[in-house]
Amino acid sequence: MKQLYKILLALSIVTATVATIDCTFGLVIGRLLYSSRQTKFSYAIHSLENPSLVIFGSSRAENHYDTPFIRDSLDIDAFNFGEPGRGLTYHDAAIRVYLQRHSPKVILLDLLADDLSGQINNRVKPLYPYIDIFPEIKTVAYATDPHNKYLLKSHLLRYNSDIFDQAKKLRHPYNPKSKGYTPLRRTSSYNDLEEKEYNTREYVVDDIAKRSLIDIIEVCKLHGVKLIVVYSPEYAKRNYQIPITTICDSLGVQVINDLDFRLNMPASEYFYDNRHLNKFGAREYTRHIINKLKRDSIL
Amino acid sequence: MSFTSLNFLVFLLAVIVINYCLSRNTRWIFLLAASYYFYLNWQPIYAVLLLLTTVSTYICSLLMTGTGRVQKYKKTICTIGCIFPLAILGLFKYHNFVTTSISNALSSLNLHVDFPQLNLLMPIGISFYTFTAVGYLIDIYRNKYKPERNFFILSLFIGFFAQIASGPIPRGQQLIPQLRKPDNLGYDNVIGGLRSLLWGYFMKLCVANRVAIYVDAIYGNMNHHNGTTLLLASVLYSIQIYCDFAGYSLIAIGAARMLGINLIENFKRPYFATSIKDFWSRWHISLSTWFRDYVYIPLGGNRVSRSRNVFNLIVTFLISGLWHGSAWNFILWGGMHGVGQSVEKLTGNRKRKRAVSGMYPLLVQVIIVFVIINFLWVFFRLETVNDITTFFSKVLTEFGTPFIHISLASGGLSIIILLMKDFIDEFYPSLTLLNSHNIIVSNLATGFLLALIFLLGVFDSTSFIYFQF
Repeated sequence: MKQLYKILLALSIVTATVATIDCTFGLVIGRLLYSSRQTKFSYAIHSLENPSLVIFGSSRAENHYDTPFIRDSLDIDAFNFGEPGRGLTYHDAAIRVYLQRHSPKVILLDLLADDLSGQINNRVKPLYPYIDIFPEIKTVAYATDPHNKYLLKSHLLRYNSDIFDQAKKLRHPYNPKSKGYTPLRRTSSYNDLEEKEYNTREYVVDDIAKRSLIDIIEVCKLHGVKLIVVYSPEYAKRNYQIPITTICDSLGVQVINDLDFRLNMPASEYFYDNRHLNKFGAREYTRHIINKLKRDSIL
Repeated sequence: MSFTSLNFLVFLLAVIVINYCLSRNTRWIFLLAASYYFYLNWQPIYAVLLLLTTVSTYICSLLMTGTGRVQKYKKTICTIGCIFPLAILGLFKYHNFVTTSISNALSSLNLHVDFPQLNLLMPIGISFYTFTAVGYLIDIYRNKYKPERNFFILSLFIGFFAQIASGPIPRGQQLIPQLRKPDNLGYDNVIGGLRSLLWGYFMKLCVANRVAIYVDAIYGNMNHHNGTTLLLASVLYSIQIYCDFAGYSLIAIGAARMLGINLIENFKRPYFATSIKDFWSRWHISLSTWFRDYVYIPLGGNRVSRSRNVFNLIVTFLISGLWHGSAWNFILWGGMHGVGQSVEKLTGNRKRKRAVSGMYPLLVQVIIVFVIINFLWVFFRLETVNDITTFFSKVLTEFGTPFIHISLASGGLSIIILLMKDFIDEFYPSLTLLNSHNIIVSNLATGFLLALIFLLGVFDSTSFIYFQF
């Protein structure tokens, strides 16, 4: 009995220590992140601006849509919500949160042809710190992994793996003048820039990613926002039917396939690597897509 | 059911609670059922192989103790008993390697022969439970202890869930009595086991998994990185493989201890070794001692001429390399360890004693040994001659700023914590917070450790490097 008492005492100390650290950590860091508006996400959500065009997507979105150029030259207010390495689950959560507070005219969702593979489903993680503030994130987080319902009670787990990234954001706050756009300056030294060719689809469609795409479409419809799915330029050939297109077609969502957008110059002049345009390429592509949207009377 | 999955934690908790409620004499029945449930969760069909190995080991061990004419055939029985599980292991692990190597050798002589390749998934833990069974049979043959007459206890010995996937490789005289009647579940076992378990998780989730992200990215794109980055990746790989495997062992040891069973220590701060021999007395101890007892000593050990001793060492390490993987790079890696130990033996390096060295010379020696071990891990990690050549040519010629990513920060912090703990455990064991005699200090430290795992752990990656062996 004495041993059992000792075990229970030890477990109580361990639990109390973890609980104290967890609560303190969550309160302090959460308050800093939320109130400081130093990240792109918190800035965009709290901003009083209401751009008519918002771009969601991964690094390709962030690097391909020159939003300051759109504002200065084309006189359209636009915001680039692109975040590197994010997949459909992240876009689902971010769009839900954004549309609860803003009402853009058009959302451009920039996707990769293989975004339905679900490889990066778990990358909704950077939004976990905001889970108590924006209940929309909960819906997506729980759908991604049912265990999240219990695991995300812990503040520490919400910041898991991300603490240094978040700390970096606090140290280097988001610059509102960029309108969310990050240009890539030159050609990647890590890339040989040979045009790749994909003749077959090398992945199975992931149910969670597919559900997220359908949810995004439904949420946009619910809020009366025009959603356009875009495959922005890639220095590669995809000779197969992209499943995202099939889903979008069946649900009446416009798809712009610009994967083979090319300029009359060597690819290394305007591509950073196979999947990203550099600053020059982004400017030209932005001009191209905005003209297209204007021509179609979407903007 | 991986040790890092939530399912395993639920399973373990249930096993601990039920085990606690049972009487000490009947716990083995429950533990056997739990172990087979655990194994069936991996690949149900391969539980048949585990069972076959157990049955053959059981029969051969009992036959060896027979009297009269049976004694004449004791050696034959032991050989058959060992060959059977080793043949299964060979089929699953080495068949394709051997046939491909023969085919390649023949094609270099302009003889083209295509051997059939087996497309089989390797059963989890087959190398470990095969060695457990073989070691047990040889011990019985050597009359080290009497064979276990209860088939179910022997089944539990070979298939105990905590150790089946990646060791430690147990010895009969050490584990079987404990399985028959586990230790009392007092404070020391439950909380001590919990601490081992948590430190194992820290090593695996916060260090190994974290560092693996960087290492895999760099080794996967070697052509795009400079030599300094590759060198950094190689050092991080040394840390990764240590934390991956030692982490697994500690989880196994912790889980078993919480059930009242003490498994043997498998890692003892190997990167504080002062010689290659010392490294192998600290790295994967259960495997090293297995090779010592069942390969090195039967070959003659060190009670032979110097040249024969060198031969014995190199052969033992070549086999050890082959055990680690069915590829030439593993054999080369093992062989180089054997050569290293032989050189130490011939130069008398092993006789240097820590006591006379002093702290700074000792640390220099530790660093030198680490550099050698780190160099050898490159052969372990890179499978092709082309990759190995690229690695060394870049390390020797392409200097530059190493590629550093923000994701390394969490790994860096975890590595610092790991180094501090290992340093204190090695040189100032009385200062270890986790094992402090003060119940408040030790449990506060445990709480901090758990919080660190929550914050820094990488939970997405579930596999352990040593599972492939």
